Amino acid sequence: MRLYRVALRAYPADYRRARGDEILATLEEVHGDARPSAGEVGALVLAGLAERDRADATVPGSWWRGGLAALVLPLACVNAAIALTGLGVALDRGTGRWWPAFALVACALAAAAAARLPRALPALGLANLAFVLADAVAMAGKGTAVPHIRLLEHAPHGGTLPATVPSNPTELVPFALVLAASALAAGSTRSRTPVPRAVAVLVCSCLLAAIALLLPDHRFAWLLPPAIVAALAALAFGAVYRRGLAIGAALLLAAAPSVFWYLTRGFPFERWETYGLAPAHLTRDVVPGLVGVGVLALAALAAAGAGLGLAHRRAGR
Amino acid sequence: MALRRPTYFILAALLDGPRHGYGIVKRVDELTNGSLRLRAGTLYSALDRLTEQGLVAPGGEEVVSGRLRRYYRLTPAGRSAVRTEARALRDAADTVLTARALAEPA
Repeated sequence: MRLYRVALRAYPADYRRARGDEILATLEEVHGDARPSAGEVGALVLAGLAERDRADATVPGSWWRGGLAALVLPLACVNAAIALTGLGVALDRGTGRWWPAFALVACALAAAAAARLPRALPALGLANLAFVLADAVAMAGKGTAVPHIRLLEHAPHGGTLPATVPSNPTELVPFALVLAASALAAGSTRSRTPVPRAVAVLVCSCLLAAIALLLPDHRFAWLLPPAIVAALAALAFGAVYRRGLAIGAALLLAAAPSVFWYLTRGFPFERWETYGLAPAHLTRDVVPGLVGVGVLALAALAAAGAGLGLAHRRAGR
Repeated sequence: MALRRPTYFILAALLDGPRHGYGIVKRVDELTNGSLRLRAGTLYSALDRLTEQGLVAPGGEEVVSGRLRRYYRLTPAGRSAVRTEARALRDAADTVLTARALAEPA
């Protein structure tokens, strides 16, 4: 019975209070003192998660939060993962070999944060922006001509922007479109509780990755492993949440050309390392890139503020 | 709309009167000769959904030897839904099991 009690925690607290005893009583009558059944535990967990999702669909305005989490949290968490682990410096030395691992950690953190911090989005977004700005100011103060984003520090080339920011501002357009589409897709999960929201975050990372990998020079190839994990997670989630199945399948399909490229040609580390850092390059690439990132970040923050305000007003809080 | 198998048998288990969770599990087991073992999680999600759809309604509570028993009963809509489904299943079965269909091809 103890194991069943633990499994019942998959249900929302309100539901558990109302129905928990009844469900436990039924389990007791069916199984008596027999060893807990794995099947029953699994069914309880799946039903509990589905109930959470169902309960959330009725919370007004909650779709905003899923979408916003998908926008703000991955960025914040990538920053946090790298800033908090000095590990990166020790392991990486700017070769980029450990970057996929960081990206995975960041995705996991994003998922966890999405589960735990539904109300903390604007704060997270602001903290993230402040962090990036402070870092840029600090680096400029040290006489480094290039604003430096810690987000990219352990990416190839020691994190100077050209490594991951498209050199031409128009290249940001597909990203902006995908961000918007991802936010809508994630928002449509209408959810502010752990699993759907976490999956929304993963799914958005994956969508971005799928697009990034289709760009001509594959500078974004480090997104591939989290993308595959995200698609698999979305597929697994399909067991309790049908839209997850469709989204996961679509994403795997979208990523298929990249996967094929990866399998046939290997991971493009050497390409990253040979990417030049000539000063002319920097002024041409970094400024538009930084402006693009800044605009996206501000848009995400503004949307977060507006969305949460609206959500709270609708919920009458 | 076709009912899923567990849903169909939960409704069928309630045809002869209200039952509580364990009562339903046991009855479904009998009705299917043990081929459908309802898990509690599955049972209660199905009951919630059926209650929401108005096919099942709460049918009273009692405490038996310290355990809460909440009973569920079929609503008229639930009775008609399970009958409609049963007819559709019978028709589907008939297309395969009539004498003509069972005859070996010449």
